[in-house]
Amino acid sequence: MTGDAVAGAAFTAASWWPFAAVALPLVGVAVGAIGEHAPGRWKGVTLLALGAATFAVTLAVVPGVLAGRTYEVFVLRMTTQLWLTLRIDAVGAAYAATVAGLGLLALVYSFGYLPRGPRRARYFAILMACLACTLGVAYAGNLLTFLIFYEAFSVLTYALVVHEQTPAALAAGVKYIAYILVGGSLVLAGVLLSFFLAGDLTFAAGGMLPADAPTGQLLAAFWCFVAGFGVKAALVPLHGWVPDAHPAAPAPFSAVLSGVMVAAGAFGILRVVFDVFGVALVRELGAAPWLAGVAALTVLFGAVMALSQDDLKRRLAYSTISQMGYLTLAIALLGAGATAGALVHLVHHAFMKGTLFFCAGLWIHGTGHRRLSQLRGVGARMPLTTAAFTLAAFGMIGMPPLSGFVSKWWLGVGMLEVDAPLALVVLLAGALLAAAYLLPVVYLAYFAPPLPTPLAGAGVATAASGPAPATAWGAGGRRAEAAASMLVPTLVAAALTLVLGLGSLLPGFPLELARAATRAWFGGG
Amino acid sequence: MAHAGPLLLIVAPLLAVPLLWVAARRGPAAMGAVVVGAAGLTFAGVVALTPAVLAHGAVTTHVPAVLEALRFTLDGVGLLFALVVTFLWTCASLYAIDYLHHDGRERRYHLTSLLTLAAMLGVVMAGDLITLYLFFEWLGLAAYLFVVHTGTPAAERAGLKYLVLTLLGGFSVLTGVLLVHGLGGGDIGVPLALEPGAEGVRLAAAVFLVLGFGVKAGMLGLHIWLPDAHTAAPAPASALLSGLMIKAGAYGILRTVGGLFGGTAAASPAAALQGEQLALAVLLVGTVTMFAGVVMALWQHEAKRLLAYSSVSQMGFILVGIGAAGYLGGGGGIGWTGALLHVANHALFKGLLFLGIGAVIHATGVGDLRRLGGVARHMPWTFAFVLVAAGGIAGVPGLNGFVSKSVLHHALEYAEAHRHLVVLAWAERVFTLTTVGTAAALTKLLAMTFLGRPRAELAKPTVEAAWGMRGAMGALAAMVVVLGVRPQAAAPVLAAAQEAFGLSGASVERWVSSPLGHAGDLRAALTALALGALVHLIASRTRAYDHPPPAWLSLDRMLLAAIGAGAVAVRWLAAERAALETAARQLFEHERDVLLEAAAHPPVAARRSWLRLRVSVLALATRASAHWQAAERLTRELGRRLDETRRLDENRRLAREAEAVAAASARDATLGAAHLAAEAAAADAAPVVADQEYLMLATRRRIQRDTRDLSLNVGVLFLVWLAFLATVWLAAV
Repeated sequence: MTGDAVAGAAFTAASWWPFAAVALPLVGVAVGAIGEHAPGRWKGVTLLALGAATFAVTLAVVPGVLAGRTYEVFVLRMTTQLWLTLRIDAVGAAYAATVAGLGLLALVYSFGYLPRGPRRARYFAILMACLACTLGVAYAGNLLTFLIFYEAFSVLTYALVVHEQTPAALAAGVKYIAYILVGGSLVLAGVLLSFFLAGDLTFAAGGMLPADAPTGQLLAAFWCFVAGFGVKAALVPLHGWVPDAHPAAPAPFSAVLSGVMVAAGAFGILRVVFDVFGVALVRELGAAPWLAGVAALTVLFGAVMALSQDDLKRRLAYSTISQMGYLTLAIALLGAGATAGALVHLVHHAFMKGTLFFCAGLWIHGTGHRRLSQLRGVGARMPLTTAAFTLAAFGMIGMPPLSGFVSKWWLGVGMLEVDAPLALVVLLAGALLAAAYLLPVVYLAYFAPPLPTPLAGAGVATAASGPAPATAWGAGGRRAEAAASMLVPTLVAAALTLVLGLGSLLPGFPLELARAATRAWFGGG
Repeated sequence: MAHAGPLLLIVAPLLAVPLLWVAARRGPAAMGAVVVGAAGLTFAGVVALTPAVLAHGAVTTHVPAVLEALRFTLDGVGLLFALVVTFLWTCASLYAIDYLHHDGRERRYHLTSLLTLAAMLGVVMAGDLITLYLFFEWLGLAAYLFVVHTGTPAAERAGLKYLVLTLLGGFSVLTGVLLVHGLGGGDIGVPLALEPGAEGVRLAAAVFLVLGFGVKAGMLGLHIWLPDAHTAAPAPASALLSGLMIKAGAYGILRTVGGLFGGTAAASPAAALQGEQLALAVLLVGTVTMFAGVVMALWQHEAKRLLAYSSVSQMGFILVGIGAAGYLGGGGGIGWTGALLHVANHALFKGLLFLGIGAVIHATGVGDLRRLGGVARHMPWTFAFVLVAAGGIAGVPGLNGFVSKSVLHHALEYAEAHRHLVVLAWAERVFTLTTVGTAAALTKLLAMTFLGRPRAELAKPTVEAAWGMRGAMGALAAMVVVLGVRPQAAAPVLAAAQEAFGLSGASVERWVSSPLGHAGDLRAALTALALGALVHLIASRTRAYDHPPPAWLSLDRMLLAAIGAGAVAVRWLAAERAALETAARQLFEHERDVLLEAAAHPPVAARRSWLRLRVSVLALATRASAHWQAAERLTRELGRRLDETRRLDENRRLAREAEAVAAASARDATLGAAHLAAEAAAADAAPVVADQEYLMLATRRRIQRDTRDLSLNVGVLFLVWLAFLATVWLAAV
């Protein structure tokens, strides 16, 4: 690494931390793969311990990163010019902690959610592998490492999308893999072009591509990257896989998929804009306003589409498209404030959307219904779940003092900083639409009477077979919360919505990391 | 002065929330007692803080949380609001204990009460705009539970209207707050500097803030939620909504006009001019609001609705005061005095009116004035309290409303004398007319409720309100009298409030020195009362109340008409109008045939959304065509059929489940009876199970569609990919 590349970082320390963060879940892959006949509950305990340890590692590096340190570990030299390296900087640390945190919650949730059976072992093994690779993406020190981990988790995700192996899931899986492979090949094209232009692939704050390269080639590389990562980040019109894959996947994985894996695309765009091209070069290329336009379209399109979805998870998936559009929009504005806001929103959105998907899973698990119109009055039956959903929904809308408000505030302030009132309009319109597509869910859950059903009055079901049919619920207002293993992570994620909002200024919270990252990219304060 | 007091005041009601669950075991009355205790405690706390505020001008707290910090400042303005809020809250909570007896949803009510109390205190003690916005949103959302408390369809409709407008208002406030922040402002009471070139943004910020707060304050045009919501809520909640929560909006406007865009001391001439224009706009809107509100109130037949419209009108008075104060700038002390005193007075008498009328409705079960009458005989205490409150609102000398209305009247005269604007001279006349209207509306309420003979047979004998309710009303009535006889009692707080706007307290001493007002006030008030009574007499004799203003004057309808007019204008602008109509008719006929054909057969789930789309296309087409009436009927009919189909689908699914249950119980020989029952249930649902084939078809179609989508997607992506590679290749070469 060249010296001038590390503007803003005080010094770089060779360290095993990044390696540990990636390796711990990989151990989990082996543990998870052991079949269901494994004795006792040690398997679950070990997986949990590994997940918690990974999360602890991602948190442990935060103070050092904030102090200006950069942890780096050299993994493998392939040729004299190509090597794999893991390196922790501020933006990577923020993303990795989000991945590990949400991953841990999803892991706990999965223990309760997945039925016993032959596919359980497969699920856990692949989930852990996905986490390891996503952490690799977060900590990647150069484009090659990034590409390898990115492709790996993208492909692994397929197995989790089709996990239930219903026809719908399989169809969604085909769609997913087709989109993702095309996107991946575009990213590969971008990486090749970058290597051709720069002769090096190491990320550098301020950009690694030479500014004097032919504009055409630079533009080609830029759009290859944006289109490639845009598939993952669900930029319209490359978003097609998102609304199909989310409802098909098991709930805990939907949460991870929506919370951190779609965000991986935005994270890729972030890396490309700031660490590959650099602010100055992107500004010179003049491509950013176009990207901002696409992102604004994504925000509005996703939100409008979400309005008309009756399938709850589909509605949430469109909401993800809309919310991820904020990230790209803010990045494309090329302002320090907006970028910091985007990073904060990445973290905050992960836990809010995680909560929403966890709750959707609990409702589906508890009532057997997945359509909004069938979930009327579910609040009386599952009050805690519904309360968690409400909290996260208000967060998504941007009600103060929840985390969504904080991130949207900084996004808005950042947009005003760079004189982009139109972006602010898009932001506020997106938030208003979020209210329009999430509040009806809350309203139906609390205030609408449950669907009248002929069976409920007949009293047949309870007499005939132990568990009452799902349609009879709500009549007597009986409470039936899910098991603690699913409820606790849901409530923790919901509580994080509040904690991240109230404590957004605490040292080590996303805002400080985001500001450290933008300092490196934009210089100064 | 730094002091933890403000924070403790907000936290106290929240700490009482867990106690509700403890108290729930001892019955609903215990829960009510918890709320009364919490509200009383906050009242005591505010009283205890009063000396500190009066001595130091303000007490402040910092909580490092959310964005930078939550800042709380309790200055004179906030103190006045906080005193009124906590006092009325204590009374209304005491009243609620007996009122909600056997309601069944006590816990939700009390929980909402505690949450909104905390939010309300947060609003009036917020030290910067972000904190204010936070609590304002919180207040708006929590109060939704008050509106829908009774759970009737009317309450749900009112709740929806309330929620939509509250959310829109909240986003308007947020936009304003963001813009103010962008301009470098944000602290309550610190004037927003005007950078050259930023006039437009500054004005936009002001407009967004005033409109956002105006929704809550029931500003005319944005008030359409208010009559519905305040009528639908239970009486103690109506008292809180109408007496206090709409004041949160007034508070926001007050801080906007007086603090951010006022600032007589430091502002540049350009900024002062902008502030003056804003204040003038608020004043004029207030004038229109007060008049329109009272006119609407006169024609209401429902007691609570009459009071709600009267609240709209009274908020107009407060807006006039705020506007006059901002308009007069350095000499605006009189406006602030009038507006703030009226905030306190209106909270007291409107709270009392809602509680009193609520007691009558509670006792008789009737809220329609045309069916009430002669209640005074059965409820003498309630009658006495409502009489005091009505006297206060109508401006009877010796009661509190007289003082504040007189001051507001003088403020308006001063504003007119300031620049001799003709429009302000007219505003003064409207003001006088409105006081007459208020007297008439309240005479109507009193006469039709309490006097005369019962006009309808009631289901149960009318009995006097319970002791708790009477106690709460008595306390409020006492305050109405005390502030009427000794308005000087409020002077220290009002003077402290003036200081918050950078003015000396001199005008307070001048204007609230005597319960009899100044020269001419007494005569004006008595004239207004007499004229008001006369208006009511004439109106009731001539049956004018039975002839409300034409429906096209309704704002709801006006809005729709405006949209319609816009559509018509667009159509006229289209060059080929005739061609358009023909095309629309053809489209309409085509769609009608398709839909009728489709509605004749129950549609598959997959086709339903398509049909919905067609229905909306049809609706659009009919808007433009001449056949709109027939078409609307048809659209409704189709909507109904679609709903029916959905129910049919539901039945089908239920039948399948019933079959499954039956099969399960058949295997279980010991539960023969259950088997029979299940079979019966299945038989009930059987007629609709018939079409297995139909379901198969639907599935096959869906698979086909998915496959087609998939190949399309892959194909497009492949093309995109090729195009990119080509671009790359071209660029590289």
